[in-house]
Amino acid sequence: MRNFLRTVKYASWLGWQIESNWANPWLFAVYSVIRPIASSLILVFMYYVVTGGKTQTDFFAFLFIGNAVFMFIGGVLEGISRVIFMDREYFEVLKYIYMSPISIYAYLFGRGAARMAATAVAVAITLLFGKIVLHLNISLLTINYPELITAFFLGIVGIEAFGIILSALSLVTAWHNFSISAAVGGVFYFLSGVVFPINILPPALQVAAKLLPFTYWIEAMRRGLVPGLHLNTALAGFSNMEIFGILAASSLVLLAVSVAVFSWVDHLVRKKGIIDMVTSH
Amino acid sequence: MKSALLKELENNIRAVIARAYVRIVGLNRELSWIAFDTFMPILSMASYAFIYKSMNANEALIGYVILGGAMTAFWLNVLWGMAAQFYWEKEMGNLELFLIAPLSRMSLLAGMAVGGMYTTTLRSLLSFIVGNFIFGVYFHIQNPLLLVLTFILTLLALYGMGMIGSSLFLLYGREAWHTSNLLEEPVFLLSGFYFPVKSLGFWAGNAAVLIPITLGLDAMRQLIYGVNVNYLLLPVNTEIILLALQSVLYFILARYFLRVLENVAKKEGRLTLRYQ
Repeated sequence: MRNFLRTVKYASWLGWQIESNWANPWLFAVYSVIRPIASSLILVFMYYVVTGGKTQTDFFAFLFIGNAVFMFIGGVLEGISRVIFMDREYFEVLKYIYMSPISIYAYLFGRGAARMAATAVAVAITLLFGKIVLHLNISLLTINYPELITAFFLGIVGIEAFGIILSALSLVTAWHNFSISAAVGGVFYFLSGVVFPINILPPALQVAAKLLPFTYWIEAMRRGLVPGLHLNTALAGFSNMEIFGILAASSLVLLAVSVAVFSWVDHLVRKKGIIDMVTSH
Repeated sequence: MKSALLKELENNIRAVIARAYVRIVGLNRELSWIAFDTFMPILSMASYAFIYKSMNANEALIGYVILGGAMTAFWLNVLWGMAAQFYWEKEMGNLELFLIAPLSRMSLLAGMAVGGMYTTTLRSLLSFIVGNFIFGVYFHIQNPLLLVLTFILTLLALYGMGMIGSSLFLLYGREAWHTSNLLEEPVFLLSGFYFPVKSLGFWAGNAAVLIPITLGLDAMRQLIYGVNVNYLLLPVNTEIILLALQSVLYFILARYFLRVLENVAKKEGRLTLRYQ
């Protein structure tokens, strides 16, 4: 366990260096702010075109917070799954990492944690921007911190686990599947009730949305951040306990599946001798 | 006996065809793009369309999202398939081979542009048709020739801009790569990919016309979904004239920047530097 945690720690540090050391800290800070703010402003202007700009509504809070929180899913999934392609084919170090006496699972978990830290900064800045500039219905005094923190950690475990499943797929696929995380992220963005309530989807898609664990995570994060949010969504009938129960169970299942899938694929790539395959040339 | 100028021209045309060939043939060999490159834009355009649906917005706005969503492929292709391409070539060791070949850098980039335009047009058209079908958006094109002209001018100006971007990659490494990464969402915002750019306000809206896709999107939306004075940035004819001017200007600037930055990169020894 100690070895596992040490690997997570140094993999996170390595991930952070790769994410940030291409620029001086100020430039990196500007870079970290512009992209999430621009992505949120797209939604703000869409909202503005239709409503004329009344931002202190429940729907605006739903939209803005959902989009901000989703950055964790998009960022972490992309961060973990691309590690394989970059380490294997760009830096060409994956074989050396395999040779070292560490757990590859822990290494990937750590790399995902680095991405999570970078994303946390972006999410915080986005929410701050929403509060100060757009007068978003969110207050430090009304946030339900125990629920928010519990939801955050339960969800992050599930997101990291799902990212590792994508990494496992990356181990056996060629470079052109580099955008697999974006494709999967797109499905979650569409179906998880991130920017619109899932009850406006066709019935079959509503069922699919309710089967996705991240639907419950986004809802739990919203409930933690704005406890008084009242919007007619398909999850409005679920109590907090039910949401947290489903979230905890789905994260545990994802964790177990990720360990099983990764072990199986790990065995497969060793057997086939494709740990260091190069497909990008 | 061919004159030297004619031979040089022939060489460069062959380079354009050869560079475009790789991209076009690559598309046919790797058909997984149909799933990824059509499915992904449709998912994001569907998400944005459902936002409008959940606010009971004007149906024209859903049409705007579909066209904007289909056109995102061009911006991404310009960023990653044009501007950043020299970065990948450098990392893979092809850039020096390109530079010692007796041909213009512009021909190589033109080949990438032609190949990129072909493949991206197929992808975008598919997303556009499927998007309109799914959401049942009504459109009536009154002047198809003007629409085609606007589309072609938009692409010429946009890929000219991409060539300017590619010159930066001769000099810079990860910084330029991150800049490309950074330019995705802000340009989606400034060019109004998912909403009428007029809503950005007078100053931001007019500043955004420096990005050709802003003008192209606004003009094509008017030509496809009809003129809506609430959403109109500029009249179509004005936008076409501006796009034609940008096509020429960005091409000249690209030529200049490529020459200057290649010289700087040579002097500083950065042309073949990997992992910088």
